[in-house]
Amino acid sequence: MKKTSPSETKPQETIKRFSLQFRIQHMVLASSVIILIFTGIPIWCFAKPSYIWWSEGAWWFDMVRWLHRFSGFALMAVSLYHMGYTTFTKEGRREFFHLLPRWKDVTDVTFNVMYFFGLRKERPRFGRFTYYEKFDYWAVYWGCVIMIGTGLVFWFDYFSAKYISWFPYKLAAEIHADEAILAALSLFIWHFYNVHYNPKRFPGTLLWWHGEISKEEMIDDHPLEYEQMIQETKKDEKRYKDAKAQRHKGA
Amino acid sequence: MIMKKGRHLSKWFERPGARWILFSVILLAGVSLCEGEIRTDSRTPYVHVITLYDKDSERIDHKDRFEAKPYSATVTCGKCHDVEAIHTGWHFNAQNSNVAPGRRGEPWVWVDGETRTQLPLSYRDWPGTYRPSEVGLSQWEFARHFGRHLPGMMLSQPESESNSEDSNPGRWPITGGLEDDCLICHSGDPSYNAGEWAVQVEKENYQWASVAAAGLAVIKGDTRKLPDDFDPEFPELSGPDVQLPTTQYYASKFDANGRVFFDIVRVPRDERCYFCHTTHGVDLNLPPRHQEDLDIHTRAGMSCTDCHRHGLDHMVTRSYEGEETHNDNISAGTLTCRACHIGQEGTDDPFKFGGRLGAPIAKHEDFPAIHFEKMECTVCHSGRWAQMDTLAIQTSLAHGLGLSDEHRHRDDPPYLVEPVFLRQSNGKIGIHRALWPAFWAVWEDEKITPLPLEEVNATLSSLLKVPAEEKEDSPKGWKPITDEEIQKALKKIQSGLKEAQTAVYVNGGLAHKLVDGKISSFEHSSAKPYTWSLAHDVRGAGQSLGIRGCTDCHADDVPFFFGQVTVATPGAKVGAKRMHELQGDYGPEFKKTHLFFKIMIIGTMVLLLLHIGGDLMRQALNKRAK
Repeated sequence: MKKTSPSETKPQETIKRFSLQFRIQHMVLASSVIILIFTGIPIWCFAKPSYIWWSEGAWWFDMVRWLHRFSGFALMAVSLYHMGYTTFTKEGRREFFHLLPRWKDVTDVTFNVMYFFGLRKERPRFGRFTYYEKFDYWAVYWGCVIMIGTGLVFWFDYFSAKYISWFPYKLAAEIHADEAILAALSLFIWHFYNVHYNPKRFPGTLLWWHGEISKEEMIDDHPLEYEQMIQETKKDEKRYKDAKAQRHKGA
Repeated sequence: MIMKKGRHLSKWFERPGARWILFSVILLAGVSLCEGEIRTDSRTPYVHVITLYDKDSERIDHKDRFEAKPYSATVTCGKCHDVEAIHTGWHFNAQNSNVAPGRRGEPWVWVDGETRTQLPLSYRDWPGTYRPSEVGLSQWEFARHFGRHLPGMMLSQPESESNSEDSNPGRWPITGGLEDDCLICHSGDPSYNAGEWAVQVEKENYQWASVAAAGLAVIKGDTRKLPDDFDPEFPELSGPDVQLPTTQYYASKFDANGRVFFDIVRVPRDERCYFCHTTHGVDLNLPPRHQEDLDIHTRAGMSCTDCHRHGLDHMVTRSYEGEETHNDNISAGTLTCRACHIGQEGTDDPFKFGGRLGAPIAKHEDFPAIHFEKMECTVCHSGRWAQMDTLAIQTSLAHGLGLSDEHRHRDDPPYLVEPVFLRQSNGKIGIHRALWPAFWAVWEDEKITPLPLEEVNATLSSLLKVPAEEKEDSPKGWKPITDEEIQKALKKIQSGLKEAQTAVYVNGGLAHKLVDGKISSFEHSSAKPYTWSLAHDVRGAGQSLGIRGCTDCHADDVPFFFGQVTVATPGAKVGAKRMHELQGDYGPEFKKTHLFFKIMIIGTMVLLLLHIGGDLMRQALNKRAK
């Protein structure tokens, strides 16, 4: 366990939750998605015939378009990297395993809602990832597949026009816009509530930056993971003691 | 034996009268050969210095200033030309139900400002049009309204099939018939005045239209002023000074032998075609007329008849793909865009090799061949450059172009728009003009049948009459119809219908009926626009759709799929439909996808917001409890 937060009178105990790789991926994802949203809005609004006289050919509009494409490229890159990470690295596979939806998540949702309405005295006990964190992950997964797929249709329009007819082309535009709206709303309302607006965490956690979570937060939000961690620590300590004892015996 | 026969024959010739008999036989044979078959078989035009005849085949006495009859083009020309064969031609055979109608063409449009009606009519049974008899229009009334731009059609001598439909014989005995006038097309004389034809038709002087248009005489009189019971054989019975129009021929037009010189051309000049086949853009978004280029074929020195040609039967080649299945004309199928500019592979017919009349062969390099399967050539090469909103146009047939009219206004109905990209019956996408119908009708057994036009006018004109002071604000007195007016009108019509029938008003792309006294609108095939293909003016390759790349069509928000087709009907608020909605393709799938995402977005956000709300509520309650 590492000590951080020197501003506290009593140093807060923290636990390393996310590795550097995980955090870098998140940072690239976050920045690219935010740029995509803020550049996508003017493209969506001002490329319409009513406004095209204002936007078409304007230097700033071309810059917006290129920024959107650059961010799209970054999103594609981080998505591919993440797929490789979850397939070829031990750490990635472990995280992916934890993120898979389970039956417990369904019961967690139910019990949590009951807790909200006072029908249960205690919150459900969550593991490494809560059901809403898993929702965030899979929503992004779904969103990336759709946004990258439909975005490529438009980026390479000459290529697309040769092989697909109008219907898939126009449908791609419609889906791209609709999914973008959903993604933006989910990000700025749901995800930001969980990490920033929630009164327990306001103005927000820096977990995404340094990857460390306080012990209290760990016990409060991920008690099952904490218990598992303690058990593993104890097992490791016992193993260490046994190995030491063996060495002494051998000597 | 032969020698005996020869002697027998020579003795016969010696009989009195035998030579005269022989001479008469030879003469009759010669005449019968001449009648309808006089030809020069030369490219040099025959100089037509000919005698004029009236409809009774009597020679015209041009010097009689009071009793001279109007000349009959059919009878006069019929002395040498097979007018019966000519009458089977495309411009004259609309009433013949044995003639295949072929591809849909421009209809006649009945326009009634008082009842806010614009209804496409045709004798050719094109889907979406109505036969004049279906809406109570007799042939005589049809001639009165549309004869201004008819080449004749011999409307006083209808085909037997349509005869049974025509319960009103009209005033044919008084006005005379609207005969085919050959000079409408074949006059090379620039003084031939088709406008004068229209003037005489307006006066219902049908029989006098040909002679007036040819500039051979002054017509004095107006058959409109004659009573219905006027008998041309006994005009005195109708009173003094009541007589048919008089025909006063210009003496200078006749030579010493009483013959007239007609400047006849075998191949009609384009100006003759333009009188009936002009389209004029009236949209404010269009450049001025002098900025528009003519059809590229015209610029290249070609004439209308180079493509739209025919033989003696006058079955004009309309030059669309597949026409050979409807038209026996040997030229059909050989004068299409494809036949001249691409050619047909493996054919032995030299007329299908391509390159005809010097046509450049279109290579269409790097252009996916799928386009040729999916679209007509005209989609990319014809009409005005498509914009996001369709363009308002006027045509000769619908708006009387070619006739001088100081009151013609750009907003005059009927409201026609172009270009509209639609899928045709042959499965290919084509480029069209559109007319949204507006009419009062009866809805029964899911079918909408228009009410007789005169009956509608008689029933509703007082109810929907536009006050004189408001007429000035609207072009030609058209005023938007209000929901209240529609309600009143439908109520009035309904009162005269059977129980199983419902009064409806088709307007603005929808049908409107009364349900519990309120207007309920619904979609119906009768409310869909009537569309017909356009092919002119043709733009060259450098101005074709796609010249700027695939994204001329394959892009978000381009006219081809997402252009707005103006829904303009008399008196209704102007609306619009997207091109793809009218194309009918993928619309439901598109809407379903859009609906799916809409539900997903709203549903997801509602759930998430509820969750957030629940969490906040629980935190607040916990804090309070502490």
